[in-house]
Amino acid sequence: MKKQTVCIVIGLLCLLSVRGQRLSSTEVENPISPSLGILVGTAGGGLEFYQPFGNQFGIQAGFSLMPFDTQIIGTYGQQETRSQVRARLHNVHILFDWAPFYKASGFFRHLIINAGGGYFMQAKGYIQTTLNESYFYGDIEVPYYLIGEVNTRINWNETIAPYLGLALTDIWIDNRFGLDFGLGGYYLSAPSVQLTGTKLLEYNQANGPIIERNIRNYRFLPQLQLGVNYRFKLKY
Amino acid sequence: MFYMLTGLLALAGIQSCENPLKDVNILVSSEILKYTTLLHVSDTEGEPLSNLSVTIKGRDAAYIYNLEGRKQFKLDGGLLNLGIHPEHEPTPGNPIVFQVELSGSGYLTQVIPVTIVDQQFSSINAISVMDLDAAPAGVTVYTPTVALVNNAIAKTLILTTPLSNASEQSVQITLPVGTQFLDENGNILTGTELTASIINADTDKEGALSIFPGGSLATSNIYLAESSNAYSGVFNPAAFTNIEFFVGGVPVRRFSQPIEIAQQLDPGFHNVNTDAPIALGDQLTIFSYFTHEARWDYEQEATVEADGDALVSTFSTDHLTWFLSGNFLQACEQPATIQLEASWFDSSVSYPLTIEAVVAGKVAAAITVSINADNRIVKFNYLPTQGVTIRVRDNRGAILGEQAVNATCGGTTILSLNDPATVNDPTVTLQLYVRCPGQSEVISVLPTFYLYYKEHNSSDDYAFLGVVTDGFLSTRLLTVETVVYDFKAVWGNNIKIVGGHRVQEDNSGTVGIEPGDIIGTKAGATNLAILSEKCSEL
Repeated sequence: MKKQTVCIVIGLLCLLSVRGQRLSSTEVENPISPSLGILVGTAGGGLEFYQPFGNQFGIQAGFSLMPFDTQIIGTYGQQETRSQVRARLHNVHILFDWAPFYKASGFFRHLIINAGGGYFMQAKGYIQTTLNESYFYGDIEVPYYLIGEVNTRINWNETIAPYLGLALTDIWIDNRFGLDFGLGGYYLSAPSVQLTGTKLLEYNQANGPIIERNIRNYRFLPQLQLGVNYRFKLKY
Repeated sequence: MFYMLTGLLALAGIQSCENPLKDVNILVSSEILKYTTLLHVSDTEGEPLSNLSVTIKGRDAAYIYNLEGRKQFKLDGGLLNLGIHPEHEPTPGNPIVFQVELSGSGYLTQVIPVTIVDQQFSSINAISVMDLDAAPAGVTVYTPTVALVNNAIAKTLILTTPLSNASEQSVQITLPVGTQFLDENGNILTGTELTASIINADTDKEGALSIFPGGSLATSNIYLAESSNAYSGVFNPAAFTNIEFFVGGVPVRRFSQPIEIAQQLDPGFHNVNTDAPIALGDQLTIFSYFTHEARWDYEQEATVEADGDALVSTFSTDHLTWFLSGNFLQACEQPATIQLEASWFDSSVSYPLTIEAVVAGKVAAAITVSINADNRIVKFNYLPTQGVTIRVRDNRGAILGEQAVNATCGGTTILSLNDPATVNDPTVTLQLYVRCPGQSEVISVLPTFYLYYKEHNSSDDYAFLGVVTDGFLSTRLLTVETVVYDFKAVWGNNIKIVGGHRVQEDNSGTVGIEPGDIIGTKAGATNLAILSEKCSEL
């Protein structure tokens, strides 16, 4: 699935490059237009404001909201469990853009390198785990409401996370709208895990360090984004 | 450069997507049964009994399980652990009520009524079952044989129990001429011989009272005169007798005509009706008890008469069973709450105390509990509000406090305790951890278990040390370094004995198979099997 995603992304890039080559201007001007964009991607969706400086620099600022919910069913220990996973990663960010090939014609003109940082107002995950099957103690079928749950809270510090990435920005759709594509990532603080259990699942604290070990690489938040920007001035 | 960066970013993204639950092992606590009770079954000499059959009966029997959640009940080392189904726990005003029948060849069958009330999470019941060949002092077992003519008594016959085995009270049974014997269906039994088993007990001897039906003078399922409702309360017996007759091996239930029973009374009996020593002309109440139904029935009133120097209670009956002459004190419907107060209580140090309810000089009920500052409330069932004194003893039998029970039904009696002799002894802490085979982490999912102790190689019985909760127990009953102890741990249906150990002030150990762990040297393979089995259940 992940390989397919990578292939699709690369294929899309190729398509965009063809489109970019055909429609790009040959005039020496900043490929970044003053504009407002809507972006959707792996790190959530948000709004982005673009402002060029000179011929090859720009700044972009915006926010991104990522609510992510899923369910994991699996056997961890002797019992099949059902885990509701909720992640909330919301940030405001500011990035500096550099268009190294602004003099080039075609696709490479739109390639920019972004660097900056994001402040994560919310960066946390929550896993609520319960048994997914009847639990028998000897001959006794223990009712669901007596079993309880394991609640795992994952927190990243509310600090500024650096960002580095590449983007194809403001690719011509028409004289008002441009297409944006970005690939990069935030480097987050090390996550901490708090695990509590209730009722019969109370004594599961030993799983806290295991989950912390599993997610210790959850520091890199990859961002693959697609978006459309609205230019404040018509571009011909 | 672009492709290199793209590849790096994709790789980093994929790498970070480890399943957060990988290697997680969700543990389900085995403490499903929050309400448990432990029956400590011994013969009248205190020897643990294991060769008895156990039957759970009564209203809430369906909700009673062993501590492994099974419907299998077996005595092991004299211990029987019972738990209540988690969906049928007691609530205020709705206790769980059942009976435990203990029977075996050569033993006097006992049916113990058990009531577990709201918040009474654990309790210990000491039960004596009499070996018919080893009656305690003050109990006479008399087994005469009588010839029958035409299935009947040929001429009026008087059976009198001898004053043997240190007994001071006897019973006299008069079978009139022509008496025939009926089975439970009312059929006349045929045979040439009547065999009898008559057990008579002195009521002023604590050992003899241990054979009292139900194991306690405070009891339930009592039907009073002209009442169809069962009551509970305390008996104050002046005499009690069990009579069993057999014709042709078939138990006799009734007679073709009434027989007469004259019970010799304890001369020191305190009649609670007159609040004075028993005297000629006093009225006593006669109750009968049918063992298999654990049911007491009012029979009649009897006047105290003289028989030579002795006082007797004489009455007629047409059926056989246990008979009691004495007083009955009806209980209030709410359990009596006893709150213990002491300056030496500590939230972490447990202390086994025996709390007795004393009525007319007799121990009507006794409970041994593991007390600490957080757990110092004891509830007694079946107690009346008048005439009851609560007495607290430490593990050496010393009385630490004594007070009349609160006269309000369901009220709380606050009892201040004196210092026990061990109050300034060092605290010994026992902490147990468990490491499952193949695991690096110790687990904290430990079941609650009972811990007993005795001095190594002592012929004494194991004494109750306390309840080990989450693997932890702190006590002042053990002597550090100088004394060698044997310990007995009772965990569900498992009993483990660890012999020959000295203790330090702080004792901790991990049961497991890693270097430094404890697995035991005497039964290491068995211990490992138990450990593996239990770990597989986690």
